[in-house]
Amino acid sequence: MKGESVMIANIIIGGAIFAYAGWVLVRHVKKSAKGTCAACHLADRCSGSCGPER
Amino acid sequence: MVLTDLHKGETAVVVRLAVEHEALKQRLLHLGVKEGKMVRVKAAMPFGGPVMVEVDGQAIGLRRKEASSIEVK
Amino acid sequence: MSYVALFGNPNTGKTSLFNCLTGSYEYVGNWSGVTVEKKVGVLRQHGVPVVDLPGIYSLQPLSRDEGVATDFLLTEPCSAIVNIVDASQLQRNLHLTVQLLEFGRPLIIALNMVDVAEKRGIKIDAVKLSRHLGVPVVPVIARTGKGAKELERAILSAKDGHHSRMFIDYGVEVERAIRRIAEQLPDDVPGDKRWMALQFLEGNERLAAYLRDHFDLSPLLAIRKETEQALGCQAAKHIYETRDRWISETIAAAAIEFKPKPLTLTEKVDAVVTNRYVGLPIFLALMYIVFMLTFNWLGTPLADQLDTFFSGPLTDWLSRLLDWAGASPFIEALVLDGIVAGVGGVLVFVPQIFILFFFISLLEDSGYMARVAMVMDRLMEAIGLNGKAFIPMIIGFGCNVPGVMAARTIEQPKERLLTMLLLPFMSCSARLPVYALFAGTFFIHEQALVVFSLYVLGIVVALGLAKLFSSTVFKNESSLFVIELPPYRVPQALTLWRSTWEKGKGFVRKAGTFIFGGSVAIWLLTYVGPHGVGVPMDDSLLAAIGGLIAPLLAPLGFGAWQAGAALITGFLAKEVVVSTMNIIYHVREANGLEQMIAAHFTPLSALSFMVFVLLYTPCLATVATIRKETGSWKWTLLSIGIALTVAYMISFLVYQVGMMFHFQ
Repeated sequence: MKGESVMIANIIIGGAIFAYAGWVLVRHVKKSAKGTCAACHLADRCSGSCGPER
Repeated sequence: MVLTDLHKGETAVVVRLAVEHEALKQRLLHLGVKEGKMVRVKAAMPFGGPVMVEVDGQAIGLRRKEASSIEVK
Repeated sequence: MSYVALFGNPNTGKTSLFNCLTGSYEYVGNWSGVTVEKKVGVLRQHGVPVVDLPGIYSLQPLSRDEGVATDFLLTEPCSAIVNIVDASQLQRNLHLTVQLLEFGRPLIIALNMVDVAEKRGIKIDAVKLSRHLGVPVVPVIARTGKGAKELERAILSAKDGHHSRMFIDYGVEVERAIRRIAEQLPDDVPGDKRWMALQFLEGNERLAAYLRDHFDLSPLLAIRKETEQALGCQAAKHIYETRDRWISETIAAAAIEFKPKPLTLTEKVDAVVTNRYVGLPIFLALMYIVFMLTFNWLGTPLADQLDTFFSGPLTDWLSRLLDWAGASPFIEALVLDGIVAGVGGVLVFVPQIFILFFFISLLEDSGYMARVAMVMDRLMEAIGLNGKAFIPMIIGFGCNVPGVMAARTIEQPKERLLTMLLLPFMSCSARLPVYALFAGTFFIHEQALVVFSLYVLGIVVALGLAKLFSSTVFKNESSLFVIELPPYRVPQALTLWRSTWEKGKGFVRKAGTFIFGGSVAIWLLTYVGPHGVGVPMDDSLLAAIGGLIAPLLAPLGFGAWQAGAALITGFLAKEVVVSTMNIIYHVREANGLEQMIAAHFTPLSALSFMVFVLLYTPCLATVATIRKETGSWKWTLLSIGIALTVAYMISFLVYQVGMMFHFQ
């Protein structure tokens, strides 16, 4: 019984860490690859002109 | 006489903007450097570096070459 | 969606006002060209979208950032325009106002810096000015937020309403040309037809390009030519002068007091910092003091205390917590050897980074920035750039991404391109932890000097390459330099703190997100090997990956797989170099890391490694920004290529020459 709950605790902690790590990594690479807008903290709200130079 | 003939602290009136570069001339106009305006030389950087002039209480830095194509009296 | 747009001359406080109105914390500073991209916010409680635009002197753009503002007028609908006018520079500010009035949308004037104007002996009667221009005029002090409420009310009541009936008579010839051009224009053009005709006559290139997409311009060009012959001068000159006279009359009618006197503080400070002989030495001395404070006097002692806390009490608590939860050895290793080592290893350098950001903010807010550009111009001219390029470089010390963006203010395309390509050599704050770690281990007493030299090396390499390029690839392109030198102001504690925090926040946030993720991934790579899990580190996947490039790096003095692995991960973000090193060399005790590193590096190879990290490649975000700003993969790849080549050559030189003289 004791062993089982410890197992579950381990899975929860480990799972949470790996899930979070994977999510932030993917998000970072996606955002940086977009360039400019990723560095701007208004990025989420901005409908602006972060386009390439004309 | 041109702008670069003035010594530090001297004042003169612009008579002609004979600047060749069109964009630069526009910029100077925008900043208020135009015929009839009083200009004062505030400082000059060493080794032929830029000069700092004052127009309407606004300080502007520009290169010696361009400053020498601004005629003053 | 219809915006309320903020227009105004550079450095008149548009962004400060935008922050007041929308409750944002956008980046502000005391020089022309802080804002280079439009920023969108929402008017508090009213849901009205507000857009902040780069500063312009006129609607005819001369540089890329100014183009953003003109493009906005041409392509986006706006319900009202707020024109921020610097009360102490009324004459030149009103040139833009006239053009905006002619555009024919509801306009509100925010008369800013009334306090500065009064100090300079200029007092404006807002009511009279309003009557003369036919639009509401609201006095504000954007820095403190005074008048923002009144402005907000004025915006809400003017929005989507009538526009001014103001009218300037440009004389028979121009008026005739305006009528003739207006007849040719289609009905769906943005703005008033009269405005469009005037802008065309003035030679607005952006506008001409916009019209060319819709119809053939040759009849319009013919009209302009005829008009210019009749006038006997350029239409632009005639229009400018007519406006200037009209503005003078307006000011004469609206100014209560107009006895200009100099600003004494600015005069006094300028007498010293722009002095012929001591100007440049003062700049260098100030920079040196900043580095001493960051690394020797203040930053490092603070960082050491944080380090002791992370490796001592924090590790103990976490370890006990994990025991209590019954965590397996795997989870315990992941948390303590992976996350604490990786994230903590970067976080300990927060004090240094905040101190550096504080000084960059001070430089930006005081008005000294533009002076630095002027003091440096002679040197920059010699290498084919101009003094303005120095501003993006200083910003690049914080982060290369906004630095690349800031290059938009440079008028000449060639100078702008060159500045963007060489900007990654500016040592950004993400590289700072690497220096702090290695210099702190091998050069304890000369730490500030070593780091200072690295920053200088970055600048020297960038300038050297600029010289090389401007005398080969970009030959025969003229260079130009004009800069506005704003009055100094004593930075406010709150503004200074906010702008330091806004910059530093990114670093802390990154530690909690990306560096956390990176640390987990890297630790996993050290745990898993090609032939099983829980392997000794030398048999891990990370060792295999690092080992691929290690032989290439051997001539530089750091041929171990550990260095190779750290450098590869550093491409995603340079802080990760330190995280990787921390995880690889992690020992669960204070100062364990420094001893481990001392065993794997010599002072010479450490120096060579720092030089390589400084120069080797821009990070992913910078690469993407360069790509976006240059609009070309060719230049972007060239920038990376140059960086890798130069880094290899210089590190090679440092190591091999050092060996020759038997430095270890």
